[in-house]
Amino acid sequence: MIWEFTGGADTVMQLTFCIIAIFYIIFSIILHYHWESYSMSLKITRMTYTYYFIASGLVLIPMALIAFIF
Amino acid sequence: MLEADEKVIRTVRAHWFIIGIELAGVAIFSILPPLTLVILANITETNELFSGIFDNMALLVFGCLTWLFFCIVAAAMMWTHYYLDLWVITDRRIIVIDQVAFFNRKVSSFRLERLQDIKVRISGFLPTLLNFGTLLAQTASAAESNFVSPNLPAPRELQSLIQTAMDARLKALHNPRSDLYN
Repeated sequence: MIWEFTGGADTVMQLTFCIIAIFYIIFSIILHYHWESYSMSLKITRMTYTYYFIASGLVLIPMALIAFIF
Repeated sequence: MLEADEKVIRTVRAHWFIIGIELAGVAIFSILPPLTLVILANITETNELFSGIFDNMALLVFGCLTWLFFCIVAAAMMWTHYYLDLWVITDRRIIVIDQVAFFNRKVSSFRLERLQDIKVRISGFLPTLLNFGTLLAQTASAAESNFVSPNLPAPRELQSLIQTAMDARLKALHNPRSDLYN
């Protein structure tokens, strides 16, 4: 018996979003570890966090809205 | 990391042009899907072959955002590797930190008195124009005797600074009562 995917585009988007969210959490932890361990400037570390979280948030929030609400 | 009373003279990272060109590449890469969609939208008006492509607009936007997300991750990685990759010149040593990748960091140091030769190589139009190049340091160490760091800004000034620091260090070692020794 051949398995057949019966979900629609919504299911694909929701599943993709969950995988991306897990990846994002792991990547953010790795990034945080490196900056906390090796950075020599608190100012640059904070600036990096700010830009990274703002940029990723601006992308992830619309992705979540599209996947789960619209 | 530093020894007692060791003073940092300068920390050096790769030239801004290097990270600038990398981030510009990511920025260009990130606008490719939306650009393709705009081109396709214009084509669909005249070509029936692509007419069904915009039936699920939500999926297309989601795809573009996913692409953009990975571009942001790539940019964060590039910036991290750029910033954590550096040369620290102190009054006693040169510490070369090579952040190859995440969880792959190489830290080497050599003492100024063991430095045998320091060379500068600036090759190409842009490196000459923007004043960046490769610094090659050769030491008397038995293990890793050559340190090569590409794309360092103002390499001639850096070479001069290292030579001055090396002279001061040698003078201090040969004249222990000198103030430079402290």
